[in-house]
Amino acid sequence: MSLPDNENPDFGKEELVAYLDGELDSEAIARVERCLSTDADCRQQLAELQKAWELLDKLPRSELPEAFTNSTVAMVAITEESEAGRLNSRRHRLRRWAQPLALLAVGMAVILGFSLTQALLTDPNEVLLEELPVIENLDLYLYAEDIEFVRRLDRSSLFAGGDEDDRP
Amino acid sequence: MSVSESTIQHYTALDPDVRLMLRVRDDDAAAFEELVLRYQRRLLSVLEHLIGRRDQAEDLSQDVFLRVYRARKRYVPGAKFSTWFFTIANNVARNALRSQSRRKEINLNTVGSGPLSVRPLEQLVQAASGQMPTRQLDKSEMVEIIRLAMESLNDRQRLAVLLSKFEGMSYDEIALTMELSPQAIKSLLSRARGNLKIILEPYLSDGERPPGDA
Repeated sequence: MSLPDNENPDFGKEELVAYLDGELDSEAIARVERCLSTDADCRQQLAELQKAWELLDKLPRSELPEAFTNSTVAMVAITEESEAGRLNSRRHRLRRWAQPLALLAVGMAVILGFSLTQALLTDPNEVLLEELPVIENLDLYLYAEDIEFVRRLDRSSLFAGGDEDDRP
Repeated sequence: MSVSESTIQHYTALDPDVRLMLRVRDDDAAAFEELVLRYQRRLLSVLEHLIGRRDQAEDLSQDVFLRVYRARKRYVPGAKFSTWFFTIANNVARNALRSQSRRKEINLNTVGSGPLSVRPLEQLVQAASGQMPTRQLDKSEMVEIIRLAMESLNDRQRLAVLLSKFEGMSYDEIALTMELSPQAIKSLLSRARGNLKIILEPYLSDGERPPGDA
């Protein structure tokens, strides 16, 4: 093989095969054609490569079984449908729990929000003002163990007389 | 890898199968059926010669079409449709061949990068046909010899030959399909065709055995 300018021993064969496949640029084509015109070995190689390639035409193309198209399309449709069904069933299960969970979350948010709002908006001084009568007489109330005892004292005649203004 | 708008427009205008696949992308069932009709025989031929088993080739063909359908929403025409299609077929075949070689030891006269010994194949052919050495081979015997010659190539060489011969793909297209460089495809095809030439050399004269061959 006298295709020049390459140290690779397969280079010549590569160029011949690519030449047969129409894959060479014009410079490489010119190189191969120079070889073919001057070298008998080059010509024989090319002819044998071409003949062996043409023998592959004798290989039979596959015969399709009957209804291959229909069975392929049906198989694809069935597979897609069953996968879509599995996906929907998973989504349905999630949806079934989603509503009660959502309601619970909303309820908890309302309660939490209300509590926080109450705590933020209530003026602590208001509480003190409401409880002022008790706070003023706290020292006296400490002697009484419960309010019912205080009411009994009031109903009794032990502390009759005096202005109403003196009452706590 | 993103594809430019101009590339998409180029292949959409150039390739009717790309336009068909774009309809499949939009869930057009009739378009999918048309694609199956157009490609099933070609696909089955390639897979049958690649895998060597008809029943498995049929199963794998259906697997390929299923993958095409599943990938439809992500389809972007960055090449000819056949290139994309046979890339999927190559991946399916490669997985199947990998499983096959893991399951059993295959005793083939596999040709790598070196020269092939013709003798073992010659003996196989004689054992199979039981023919007289000087008799002209009939068509079915010739087909068997060619089939055996193809089987003696390694998987990559065989696929490159099938895509080049049966699909008429260019080196660039085969490179995209097989995820190799065009130079790698050039070398692969050169070795494959060189090996086929060596194996089939005794039969290149119209199917006659060379004289003196026993």
